[in-house]
Amino acid sequence: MCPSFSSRASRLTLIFAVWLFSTTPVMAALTLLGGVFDGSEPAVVSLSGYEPCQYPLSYQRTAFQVSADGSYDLMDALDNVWGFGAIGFYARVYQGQFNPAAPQQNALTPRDYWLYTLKSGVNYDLVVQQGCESREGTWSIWFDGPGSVSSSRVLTVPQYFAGSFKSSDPTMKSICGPTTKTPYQQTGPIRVSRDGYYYFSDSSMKWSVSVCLLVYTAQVFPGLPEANLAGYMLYGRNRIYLQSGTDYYFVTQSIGGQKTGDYLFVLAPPAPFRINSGLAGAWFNPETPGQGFFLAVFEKINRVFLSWFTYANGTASSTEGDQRWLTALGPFEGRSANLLLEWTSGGEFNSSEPVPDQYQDGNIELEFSDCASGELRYNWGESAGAEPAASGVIPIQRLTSDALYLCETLIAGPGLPGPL
Amino acid sequence: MIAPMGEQQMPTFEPTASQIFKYQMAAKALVISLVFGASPAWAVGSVLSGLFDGSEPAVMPLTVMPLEELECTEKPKGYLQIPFEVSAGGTYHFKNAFGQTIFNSPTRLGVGVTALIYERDFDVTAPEKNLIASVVFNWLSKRVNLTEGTPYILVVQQWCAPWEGVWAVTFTGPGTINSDLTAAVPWFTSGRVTADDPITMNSCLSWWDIYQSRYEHVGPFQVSRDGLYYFADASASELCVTFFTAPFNPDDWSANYLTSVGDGTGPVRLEAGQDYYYIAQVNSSIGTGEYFFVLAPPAPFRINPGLNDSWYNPATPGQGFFLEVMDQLNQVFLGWFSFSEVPSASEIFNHRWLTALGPFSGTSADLSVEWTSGGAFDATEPAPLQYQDGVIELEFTDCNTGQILFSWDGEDGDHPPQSGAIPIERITNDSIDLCESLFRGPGLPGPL
Repeated sequence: MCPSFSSRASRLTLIFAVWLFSTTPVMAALTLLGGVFDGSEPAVVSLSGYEPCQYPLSYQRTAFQVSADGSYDLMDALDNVWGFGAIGFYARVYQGQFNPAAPQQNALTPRDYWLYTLKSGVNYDLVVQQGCESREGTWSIWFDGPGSVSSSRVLTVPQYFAGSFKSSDPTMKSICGPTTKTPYQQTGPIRVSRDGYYYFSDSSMKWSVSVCLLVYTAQVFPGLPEANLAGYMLYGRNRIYLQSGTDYYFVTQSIGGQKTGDYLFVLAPPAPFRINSGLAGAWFNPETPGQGFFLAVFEKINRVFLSWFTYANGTASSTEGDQRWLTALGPFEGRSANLLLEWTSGGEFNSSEPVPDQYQDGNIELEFSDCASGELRYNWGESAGAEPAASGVIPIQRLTSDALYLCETLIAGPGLPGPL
Repeated sequence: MIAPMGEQQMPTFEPTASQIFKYQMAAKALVISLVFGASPAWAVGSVLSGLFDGSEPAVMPLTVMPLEELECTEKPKGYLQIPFEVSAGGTYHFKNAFGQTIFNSPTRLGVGVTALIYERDFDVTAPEKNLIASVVFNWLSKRVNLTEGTPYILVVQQWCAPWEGVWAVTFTGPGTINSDLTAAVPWFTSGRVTADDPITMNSCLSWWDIYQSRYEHVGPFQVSRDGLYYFADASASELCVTFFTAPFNPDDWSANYLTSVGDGTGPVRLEAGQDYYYIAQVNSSIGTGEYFFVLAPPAPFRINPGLNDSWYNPATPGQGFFLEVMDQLNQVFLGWFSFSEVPSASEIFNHRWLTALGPFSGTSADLSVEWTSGGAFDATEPAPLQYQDGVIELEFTDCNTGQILFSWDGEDGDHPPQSGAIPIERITNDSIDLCESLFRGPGLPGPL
């Protein structure tokens, strides 16, 4: 236990958790910095030197200063939820500016792992680098030191992420496992902004305290600790499905070797959906069976390629001569893609001659709600009189739900922790 | 900093012989066992390994870590039963070989399993009955006393997400584990670091400081095929293994250096025909002891959802294919956009498209071709006519190349009989990495 942290909970600010030593003028503070790797970052050789891969790894550079001299302990806030898809990364502090052409230049040597001695008024760079997996996703780092950290990447986090169990707190036994009553603290009602899995990662171990987070749909009754219980998370990590619009009460309970002391955790929201390779496959509108779409998503070149299997517009016959197919290609961002339509004609089945004619006319806008549904808006003019001008909106869904899990757990899918 | 060295013995293994080790193959199974000299205490490493391919029976989790991983207890998970016996009675340590790999990485490097040992019988309706030991998905090992001549059953169950792929459970103890799924253990995957061994830098710890420890030098050895191999530590103490493409030179550490693996797990890219060497270092306080690790070969390619993409034959630009692999349904759906066999002056586009659906196994799929006509653009009516005529055989070489064999007789439609073979490849290589990292792709450990 670190007794100097005993009054942490009462000193939290909106941006960062700050606490005062109760009997000394020395200030200690927690600040959370975070960001998202989205694949657009520059890359450089492994800064740690112990990554097994030989290729350059993406990094993000963040300038920061601290408000007080002293030792700052940097901690991966999502360290415990790797198993749920949080990315692995390496962090290093540089005095002055990081130079990717000389990545060891200006690098500070940590006293122990990620423990740095920093001074106020000095410009530092925090460089966060992906591991060999090079997966996109969220990173977040707690700075635990005598002062606060100022940076464009400081995150605003709820006050209940940090606190201190005191002997004066109410106690109870709960499903978290203590055989005796231990202190707990309650916060609520709390609402989340969107449905999905929320990821709990406990960073309290350095203070010899473990925290269990119990989530209730009403205020806890210590005598009936399982009443209205929506879920609980202990052993440092877990996730829970929460719904927007529901009032929750978060109860933090001490379950470690020490009943009292400081605790620190995060509850990361689900990553927002974005277009990813898991969307590749067959899509259709159930209202128009017998026609549909195939999608391919090219993550590295940021393109969606679509094929549309349909029929001639306005006429119908029983012959295959009225079949129509067209393709479209274009960039995507977030949940939408803007494609240019390409019309192809004049080829011959499985033959290199004659070379088909191809020209562009029209657009397709793809907008996905999630991994299972979306909307396709199309329009084109009257090019060469081949097909009449047309425009419309088509709701689309997957032909089967087979690849939903893949889509939700790829890259920045909602099955992974998202930005705090 | 020099790691403390001494004459202490490992509490579990007490080898006294100074020679590196011997190995022997168990006659009944393909087990290569390690026997340490003439020492009265000796340890044998065995690996039981198999595949989850989705065809296994499923049952609610037989055991879970107490009060943890709630979402992992919600659905039935596949399980396998492997009868086994031991060649000598005594205390055995067993663990999930890929536990550390899975803990260290959210990607699907091997299948996480819960391993349970039953004496004589396993009753899925009463999973506590006859249970004598269990170990959950993680890297911790468990101790169990086993008796020669007693029939046991190892039950392995998928942990949490029901991923397909290779599982492996390692045993170390006084005898071999004899079963139908006992894997051959290469001679170079175990050994012993002794107090007589030389000292050099420990590359797994050197990023903390200049850390040195004793090492055993092993090699040369070769592997049977190119690819990414997966190191999984099965030792009592944490092991650091550094690979070289020539004999290790302590005076020039960087010469012929390939990679270091530690922290229980790590990938190593190896090529068939190349001689490799390694130095093994035990990261315990005494720096000596026996070690045992699994080096899982890359998994063989099989059809997986990473193939969902646009494919074509470069010889026929302007036409091509889209694929969707439905892994859970074990089906492949194909869309083919092309042209008519005989261009018609009355047709402007000359378009033809068709779809095909069918099951897959391994690297191939057999699809039935479906012809569709009579619909109208983006309209509910008239409902298109659909009928089946013909077959498509898909055969993939790897995540980027394959072949389509097609044939149809054309009796029921306005297309003539056709047959042929078309080599296909992706229109971009964008998703090859994804394909190789999914399920039992070559980016994952394969059968041992």
